[in-house]
Amino acid sequence: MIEAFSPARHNKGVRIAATGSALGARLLTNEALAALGCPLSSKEIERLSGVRSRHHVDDEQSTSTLARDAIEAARSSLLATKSLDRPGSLILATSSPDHLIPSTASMVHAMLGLPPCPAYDVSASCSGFLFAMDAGVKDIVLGADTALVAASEVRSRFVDITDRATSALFGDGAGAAILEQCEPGRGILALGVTTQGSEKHSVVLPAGGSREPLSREVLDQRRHFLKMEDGPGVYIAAVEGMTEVATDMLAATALSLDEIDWIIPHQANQRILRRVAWMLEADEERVISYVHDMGNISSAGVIVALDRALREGKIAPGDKVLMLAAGAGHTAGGMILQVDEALCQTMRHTQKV
Amino acid sequence: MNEDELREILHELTNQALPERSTDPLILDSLLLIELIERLERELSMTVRATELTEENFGSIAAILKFIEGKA
Repeated sequence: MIEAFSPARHNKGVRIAATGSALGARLLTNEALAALGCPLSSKEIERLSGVRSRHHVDDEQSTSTLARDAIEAARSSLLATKSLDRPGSLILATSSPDHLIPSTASMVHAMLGLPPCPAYDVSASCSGFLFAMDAGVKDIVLGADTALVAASEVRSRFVDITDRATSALFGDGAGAAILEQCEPGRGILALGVTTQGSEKHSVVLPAGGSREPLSREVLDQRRHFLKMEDGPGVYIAAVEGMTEVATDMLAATALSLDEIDWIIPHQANQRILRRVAWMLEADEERVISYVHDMGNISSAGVIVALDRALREGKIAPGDKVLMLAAGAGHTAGGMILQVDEALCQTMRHTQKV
Repeated sequence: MNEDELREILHELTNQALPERSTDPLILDSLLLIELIERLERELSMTVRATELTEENFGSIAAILKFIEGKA
């Protein structure tokens, strides 16, 4: 069980002032992926995952540039009304950093020309954005005026195109949220993250770290690519993790699922999204999904989905949104956000990604 | 669900020859196993837990039938 954090319990309020997102520049359809050597046909990919296309980075892009572009998109939405020159922190979730050293957040900090502030990476795989939010929300509760929270992933450079289990699922993209103070009881109503450590890792990128440094042998064995060894177990455990978190977030806010307008689960694949709805006994139409045209962008999926839904006007002022994630390393997280009129207006005035 | 009904579902999913004896090992690709689980859950209104994804429960046609029976 996750103990949810509620800013109101500390007589504080934290809201999302704006969101932004950016996707890889290369649109890759299932047909194009099959032509590149993916061992699944276009129809098989769609039947098994619901993915029809995804975006991959081009030669000029990387995790840091996607994060920069997502934060810039969020900042440009807000610049008409307020200055964001001095964020209290910049927290970036990623499991596909530009480099092991330095942090990708420090590179994004420089790209954005920000004044000195804590900028650091958070690694929690597909749950990463909510882990970063956990830190950002607490920064605001402790007194910061604003925090920049982002998730950015370039999984395409860590996926083996010949691997049946992973090659068709992943895309590249980033999302960002600007957090600021608000009245207690508004904005983020509850947030919780957890890790249930285990020796068994079904999703792992074996080589390239200190346990298994890169070598000719490692490259020959393709161990520098992401491996998913127990797809069915991952599928079921991910949904179990998200439904448990959903129950905990609802209990913390004394809300029922009927009072939640939208559910944004980790955008892993359409089967997982359908299963989340089924397990929660929620109408599938309340589950926001962009899996069909962006695939699984790991930690960035939930924030990109929120950004797109806000820009499309799908989410209305006052709506309550339940965001859920689960990922490698046995991580999970959830958040209940009440969207306000100001956020909806800010986002509707800007273009879709 | 009886053995014929399960075999029909498996045949639809795999489009390949199935083991003649129900106790013979059943080799399912992980993606097909996910599809099988979804079909069983929806048709039989049951839920499969992550801890139940074992050889003992899904290693053969007989094992699956026994697992389903235990869920009834």
